[in-house]
Amino acid sequence: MEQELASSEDELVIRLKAGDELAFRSLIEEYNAPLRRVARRYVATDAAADEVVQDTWVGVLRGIDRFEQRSSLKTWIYRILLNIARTRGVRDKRSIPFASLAADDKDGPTFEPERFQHANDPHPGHWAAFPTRWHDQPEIRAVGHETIAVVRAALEMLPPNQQEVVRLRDIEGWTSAEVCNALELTETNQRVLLHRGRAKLRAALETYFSEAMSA
Amino acid sequence: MTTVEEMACQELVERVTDYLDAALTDADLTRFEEHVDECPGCEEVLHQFQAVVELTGHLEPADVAAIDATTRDTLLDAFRTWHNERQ
Repeated sequence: MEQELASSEDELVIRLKAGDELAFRSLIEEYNAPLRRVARRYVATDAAADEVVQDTWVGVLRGIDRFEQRSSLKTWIYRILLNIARTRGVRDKRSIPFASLAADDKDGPTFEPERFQHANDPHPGHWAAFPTRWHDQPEIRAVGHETIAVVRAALEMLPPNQQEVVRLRDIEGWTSAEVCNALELTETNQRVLLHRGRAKLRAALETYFSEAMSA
Repeated sequence: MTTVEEMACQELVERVTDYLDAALTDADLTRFEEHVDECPGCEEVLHQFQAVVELTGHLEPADVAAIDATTRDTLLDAFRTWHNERQ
């Protein structure tokens, strides 16, 4: 699998270097939207983010002949983006390093403390009442439209950093290492963001199913 | 007592992503799996997180945001210019 991915990336790089427009087109269709989301965190406006992304693509074209694949193509593109976005962000006095925001709300638990027994209960830290079972509901298995809508709505409500990591990991299928490299996060911060994001999606589904099941 | 300290439910639910990412130490992995085997509540939560990952995976990248036609055409023009200039 990895071998296959590596060789298809090799092929893409070769095609880009050869000036194959279809190769470039598939690249921008895949990466333009996620790049734009990352850029938007560093600059003040959507228009500025668009410029950063356009400059990134220009940088990709200018640099592709010298790209030696010491990192993956994806990581290389993100690094170009981050350099441009940070420079631009500093100029616009809006530089927010990702890592400093990585800690947003990380100290709070993802499950309310009331759901567990307290220190003077028989089993401190264990469930006060088991969570409602819904993971095997038919609607989950069938990937129902309503369930997907609940997930999508909850995803859009996530704080930007959690949302970005959830999107890259769980929608776009990036590995943990790729996300850490591209966003310059530590493994730990990345997993905290991912867990907190997923936990909120879980909570949204829990609310949805407890309402549906008690109706 | 020869066994390691048990992982409480409250701790376990914060470690689910570590577990799914295979980022637990061997000792914590044992504590995690032993707990899940014994505790229907935590087993359910683990399955719920797996369901969340699975469902999120069904949101296509295009589903949430795609490149618009104008941007794409601008970039393709830039590509052609670049390609012509290096001939």
